[in-house]
Amino acid sequence: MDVFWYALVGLLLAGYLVLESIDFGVGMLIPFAESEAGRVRLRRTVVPLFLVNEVWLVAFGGLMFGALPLLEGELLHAQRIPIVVLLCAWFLRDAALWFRHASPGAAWRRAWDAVLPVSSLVLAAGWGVVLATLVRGLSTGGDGRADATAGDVFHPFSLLCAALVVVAALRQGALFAGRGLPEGDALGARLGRTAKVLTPVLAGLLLVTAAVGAAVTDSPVVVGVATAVAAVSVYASHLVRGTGRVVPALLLGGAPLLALPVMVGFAHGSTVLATRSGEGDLALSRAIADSASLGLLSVTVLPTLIAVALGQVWIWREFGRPVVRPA
Amino acid sequence: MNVVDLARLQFAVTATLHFLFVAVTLGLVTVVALMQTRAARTGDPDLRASRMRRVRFWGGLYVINYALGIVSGLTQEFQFGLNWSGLSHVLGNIVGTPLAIETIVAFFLESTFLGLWAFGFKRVRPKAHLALIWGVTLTAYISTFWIMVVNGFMQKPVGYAKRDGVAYVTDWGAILTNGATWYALFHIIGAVALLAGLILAAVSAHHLRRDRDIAFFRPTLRQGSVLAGVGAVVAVGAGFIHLDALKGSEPEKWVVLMGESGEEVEKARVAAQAAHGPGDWMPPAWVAHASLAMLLIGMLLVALAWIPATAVRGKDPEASVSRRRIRLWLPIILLPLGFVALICGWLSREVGRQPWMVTGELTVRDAIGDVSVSGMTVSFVAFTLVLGVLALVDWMLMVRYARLGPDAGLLGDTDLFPDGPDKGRPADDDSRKPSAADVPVSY
Repeated sequence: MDVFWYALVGLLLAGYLVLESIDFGVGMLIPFAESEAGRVRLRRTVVPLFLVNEVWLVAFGGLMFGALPLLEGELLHAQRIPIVVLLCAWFLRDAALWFRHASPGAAWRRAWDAVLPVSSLVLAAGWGVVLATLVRGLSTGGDGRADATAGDVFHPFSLLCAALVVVAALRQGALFAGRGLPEGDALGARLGRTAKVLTPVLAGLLLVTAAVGAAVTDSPVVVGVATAVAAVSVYASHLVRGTGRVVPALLLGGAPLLALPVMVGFAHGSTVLATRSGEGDLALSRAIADSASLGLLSVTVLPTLIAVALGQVWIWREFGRPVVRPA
Repeated sequence: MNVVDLARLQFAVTATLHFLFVAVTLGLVTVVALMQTRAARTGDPDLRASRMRRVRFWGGLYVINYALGIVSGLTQEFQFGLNWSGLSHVLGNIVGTPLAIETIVAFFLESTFLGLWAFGFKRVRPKAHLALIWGVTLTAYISTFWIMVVNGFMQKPVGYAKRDGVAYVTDWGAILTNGATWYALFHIIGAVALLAGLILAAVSAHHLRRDRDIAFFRPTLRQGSVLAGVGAVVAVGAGFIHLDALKGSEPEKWVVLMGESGEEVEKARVAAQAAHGPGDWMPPAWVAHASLAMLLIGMLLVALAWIPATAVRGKDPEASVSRRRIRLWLPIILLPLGFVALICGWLSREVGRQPWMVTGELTVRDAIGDVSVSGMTVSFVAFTLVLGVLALVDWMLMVRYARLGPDAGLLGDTDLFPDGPDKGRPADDDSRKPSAADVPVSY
């Protein structure tokens, strides 16, 4: 049963990354829109949806604290600075989406138009780095606890994974925002071209990640299989996109984002927080909460998660449809 | 400053911000849900349209405020792991579950319902739309309940046993029925009603003083004043009952909050040393001032919050009341006092618990994670800067929105709170809307 809770926590993080990658991508694409109408339209594609996407991370944090209380403490201790940066970027991204239209001045909007892409970029790259350090295994700090040092954060593998998430998110954002735009729409054409150009870039990045990952991690097979599946999915996404079906293209395009948490899980098995030296790592059996807590969680949280998942499907159907306005 | 001071300061800054915005959220969402219920109950299309206009205006204020409630709440969620990992090491089994339920059952659902409601005015059927705002309201209170379960446990730990230095739950029933949770919950419900009422009254009075939208703001001045008065009575009543209960559960806090001195304090000090061993187990004496300020403001509000309602007596809904100056100024003066009382209440409860994180079980010093001074400084400076700036911006936006009045349109976003199909946008009433020239493009 312990593995079930660990997998559920991982699933929530994966759900967050796949869904929010669209918001990160659209956020980073804001400077690509040349007119105010284009920026308004890009923002509108994610505005009601980013709330229901980001709550997956809230649920991830909450369930981790409930089901794996020691992991929460150790993970955030090890990743302190990256997490602080991610949280601040998250707040600023949300503020940019909420506040951009709250005041009419042009300078006001320009300011948020700068905050939005930068914070989205930091979020996408930051998640790539955090997950990459977990795949590779953390350093052991002077106190014998796991620690993501500057060497871990700026390791070539971390930077590669950062680029991977950024490019995958850009491609998802371009696919998502480009849906339903009329033939000959200038912004639509640009978004289409962007997605097309990013496909081979993403595939190439996945291959390099596989090669570097094989060299610098202890689990070359896991990294190799995960990146290969992701590369095939991206190619399939490209083909499906060509036939005009955007939803399956988006689902397949999310594979690189799914690959990272999958790698963390499979590379280290029941070691929920791995260090390269083995000192300071955390085993699942030690991290898991006691059975009374898990019992209460399973009668409260599980039914809610199912209800929320159904609710989210409804929201995506209601609000995920492309909104096309005359520019 | 050492790590403990920095971590405490960081918690105090972020929690105070969070508490201020969340208290407004809780109170306003209840008011908006009631307004929308009234609108749904009438069969008269004109009456419904005018009531829905109220829902949109006050709902808009609520939504702007909610933005900061979310981001400051996220800081709280991750702060436990970042700074207070001692808590999860010793008491993770107990505080982890309520916090997990809070984030998933309550917050996950609340945000989902809120997004649907705010953007669903035209897309969701009216009955489902009404159900959504009640969903937001209900989950917001469930959220409060679970947070107060944790907080109640920290004040007065019950229903657990310790093995090898780690606490395990023995009785969820005792944890969920903890008096320290429930007294505080009633106190908070009174306080949020008080705040929402003061906001309603202050914004309404602002417009009535200028004879703007008289028919729109007359009822809300009355409702706000009455709500604030009732909230003040509930908050003060629950506060007194709570204070009395402290005598048994947290005697050290009780003597300090009561402003006792000399012999009484010494008695509590000796008793605490007998229970917990040598050391200073008394909260800092200055909390007594915060407690006294809260008490005085509470009494003042019980006496005065009702008075503005009398300014709108009379049958004619369009009649000007702007000459009743003092009564229209009153809620504008009382509103900041309400916020001061809220912060003083937080200080009384949380600083009054010092030096304990969990009374008798875990000190704040031991609850703190193993973090370097520089690491703690980085997070303190970053969160304070980002949240501080965003809170200021958000507050400014709320004030601006409230001053623009009911037809300014929320966040300039036509899909957010559009005028319903029942009523056209009053296009000819442009006087207080941002002029077209300010908006680079119309959409």
